[in-house]
Order: sequence, then C-alpha cells, then structure tokens
Amino acid sequence: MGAPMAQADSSAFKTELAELIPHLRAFARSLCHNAAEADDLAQEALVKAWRARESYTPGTNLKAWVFMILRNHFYSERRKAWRKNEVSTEKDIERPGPATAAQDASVQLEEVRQALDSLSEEQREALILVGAGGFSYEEAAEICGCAVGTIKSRVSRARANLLELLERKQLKNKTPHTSSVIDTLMQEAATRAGEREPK
Amino acid sequence: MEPALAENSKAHDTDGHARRSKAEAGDAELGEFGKRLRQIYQDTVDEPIPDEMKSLLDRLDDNSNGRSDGAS
Repeated sequence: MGAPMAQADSSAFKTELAELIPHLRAFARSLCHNAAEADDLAQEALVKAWRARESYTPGTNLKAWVFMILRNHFYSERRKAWRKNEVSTEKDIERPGPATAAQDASVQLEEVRQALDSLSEEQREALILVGAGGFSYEEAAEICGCAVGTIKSRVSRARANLLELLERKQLKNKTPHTSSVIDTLMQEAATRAGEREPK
Repeated sequence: MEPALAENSKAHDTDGHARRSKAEAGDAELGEFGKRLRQIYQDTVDEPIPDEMKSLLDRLDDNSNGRSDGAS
C-alpha cells in the first residue's frame, strides 16, 4: 500500500463509493444466484475497493474500477469454491439470478432470466454491462479485463443468440410483436462507446 | 487500462460479426427483451440500499485496512 490518502480525499472517495452502491448491487445480482449472495458480494467489493483506494488513480473511471474489483472477486471466490468442492459443475453454478429483483413479478422476468441463462457467461456479462448497465465498450472491456473488440463481439453474439432463441420461441407461440428496443439500446451503447473514451 | 491492448490478446472470438443482418432482421422480440433486461437491472439500482450496507462504509475508517473493526 502506498501513502495514506489525505483525509479529505478519503472521505470524498468514500462518498463516491457510496453513490455506486446501487449499481454494484445490480451488477452483483446479475452474477449471483440470489439477492442475499449478491449483496454480500457487493459489500465485499466495497471493502476491497476501500482497502485498495491508494491504487485508484483519481480522475479515472471509479465506477468501472469498482466493478472490475467486484467481478474479479466474484470469479476468484468461485474458483476457490470449485477447488473446495469439486462436485459442483459449471452447470450447477452458472445460474445467475438477475430476475431476483422482481422475483414475484411475472413470467416475463423469468423468461428473461432463462434467456440469459442460455448465454455463455462471457456473453451474458458483456450484454448486461453494455445493454443494461450503460457502460461503453471500452469501460466494459476494462471491467472484464479483455480487449474492446472482444466485448463488442460478445455483445453481438449475445444478441444473435438471444434472437435465435426468441425466434424459436416465437415460432412456437406465434405471438409476433414489433418493437426494437434492444436494437435501439445497442445502437445507443455503440454510439456512446464511440463518443466516450475511457480517459 | 489501455484500449490499445486490443486485437492480439484474447480476441479470439469467432463469428461475432457475421450475425448483424440477422440481428437486425429479428430485432422485434429482442426489443421487448432488451427493455426487460434493462428494467430488471434498473429495478435493483432503484431499490433502497440495505442499512447494513450503508453502515458498512461508515465503519471503514481512514487508517484501517477496511475491516469493520468498530474502531470509531
């Protein structure tokens, strides 16, 4: 650890962290099975971010930085859990519950959850960060520790896979409707990604 | 993080871009899906923060390593 932050900086940092809590909870919930687990994860990420505050570069994107901490923590804990408990297969564990926010609500949300489950973890994560979290591709790449092109590709494949899934379902249900929110969403994200450089 | 670390490292995804026209053609239902996805996320963002989490930050003091050791 480096030199302690000045008191004023520390308290400003803490205030900024506090503002991120709702977003951390939302992201955590997209990774975890349930809300309680997600909140634990968010809390652990907050503590980790606080401890690591000396390594944060002021002026850079704090939100992306803390999300990265949360994500890394999630995967490292999960790896530990795997090592401890080899009977768990990826399939058992890969069941994120983004729908828990509104578990009581409706079949619709359950459908979203199931559709997300059908994606690979990487695609799901990229789609959530960019499509729901409003991050630019650059920010999402930073969070996930991969190249920008990789994120773009994952989002694009996530979308293609979902479309296939939904098409198949639509064929079954024969209930076509016509809106293009995700397309708009993705275009917005792409636009933002183009406009906003991470620094 | 450098955006410039692009391309070479892990960018081995295949078939990422070949689907665009298909995606555009099929955006009907996904539109609704995208809206719900965003809604689910936003619902959590809008939830009140649990007290436990709020007080967590208060317990982190400036000198500590972040453990909630009640040092205040």
